[in-house]
Amino acid sequence: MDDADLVARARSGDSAAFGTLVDRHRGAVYRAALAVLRSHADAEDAAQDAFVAAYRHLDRFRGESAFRTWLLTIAWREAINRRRGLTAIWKRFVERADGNADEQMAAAPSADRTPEQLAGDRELHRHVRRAIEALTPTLRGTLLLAQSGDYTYEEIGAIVGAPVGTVKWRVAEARRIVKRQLRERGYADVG
Amino acid sequence: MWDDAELDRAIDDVARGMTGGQPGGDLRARVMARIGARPERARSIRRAALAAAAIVLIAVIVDRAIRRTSSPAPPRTATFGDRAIRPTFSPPPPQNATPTAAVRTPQRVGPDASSAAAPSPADIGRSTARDRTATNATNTRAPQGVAIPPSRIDALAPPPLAVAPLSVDPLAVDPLDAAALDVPPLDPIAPIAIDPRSEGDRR
Repeated sequence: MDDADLVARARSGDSAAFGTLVDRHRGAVYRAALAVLRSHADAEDAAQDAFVAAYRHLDRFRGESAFRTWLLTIAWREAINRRRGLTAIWKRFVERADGNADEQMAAAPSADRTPEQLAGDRELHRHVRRAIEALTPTLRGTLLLAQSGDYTYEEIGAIVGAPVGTVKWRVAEARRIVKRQLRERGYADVG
Repeated sequence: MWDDAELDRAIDDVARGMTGGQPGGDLRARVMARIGARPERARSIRRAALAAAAIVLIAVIVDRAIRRTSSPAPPRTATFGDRAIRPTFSPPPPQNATPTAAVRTPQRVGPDASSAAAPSPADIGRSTARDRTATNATNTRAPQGVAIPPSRIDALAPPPLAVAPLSVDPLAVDPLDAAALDVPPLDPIAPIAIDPRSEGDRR
């Protein structure tokens, strides 16, 4: 059963059909929220709110786009509203002061990498992460959506409300800024 | 040293890691619980509203019943011949009707102190609340051409006011003396001669 059928059944009061839609799109919705919020707990709450909002406004879905795109748009807005909230601002401030635990994320271990090289990879990843986090919210969100591999450029354009060309430019610009910052740290003579 | 491709790969890896992961397994259950909770909440709100309306209705009914038992209600209709006549409700005259006229009257009416309480000419044409009461008492909804005997309400009406028409004497104004306004002619002014400037003055 495709999304359109499930939406029709959910509209007629079949909540189980909407439950199937939740199962089907929970990952994409959650990762879209995570691209904005960068906190797993907040992203999960935003995803939950997005699903509830979608169910309550199901009559507004006119089928002009795919249900998944419409849902992702709701999740994106929900996440942005949550990020603008005072609580989220305070959390980001505290995280910055404490240092982010996720920064310890290491590169995938590889048999052909020496311990020194693995340490260098970890260091590089930490700097890349910092450079991505220092991007503007617009560039960062677009880059993360594009690199997650979950969404097409058309979907990203619909989610963030920008043409595909603008989305591609934002991704390229974000990468250029991150590389420039890495070059400034002496990683490579790029650019 | 890192080449460009390695940096691109690092950016891809980190970005993917920042949006990686899955939501908790109970996401669906939590969403469904919130969706299901809403109609229940709406139903309880509707029930509470209905209960409040019922309480208000009962209070109004009880209040009316208490009033009916404590004071006998006036007859709502008066029988007249074989027809029932519904008397018109006449409100009591407002408290400030007479004082307002009394305050305004001294500014308009002249020297006669006895006429201070009399209404001004503009007020004469106006019907006061008391007049309306008297009029309403007689203007019951009776059929045309039927003689209505005076009721007890008519007896309560005050007698009509007898007000003498006001007359104002014309003002006595002395005519102007035109001769007193004559202005004597001014002395003629001698013509002023101006000589041309000499060469020495131009410097």
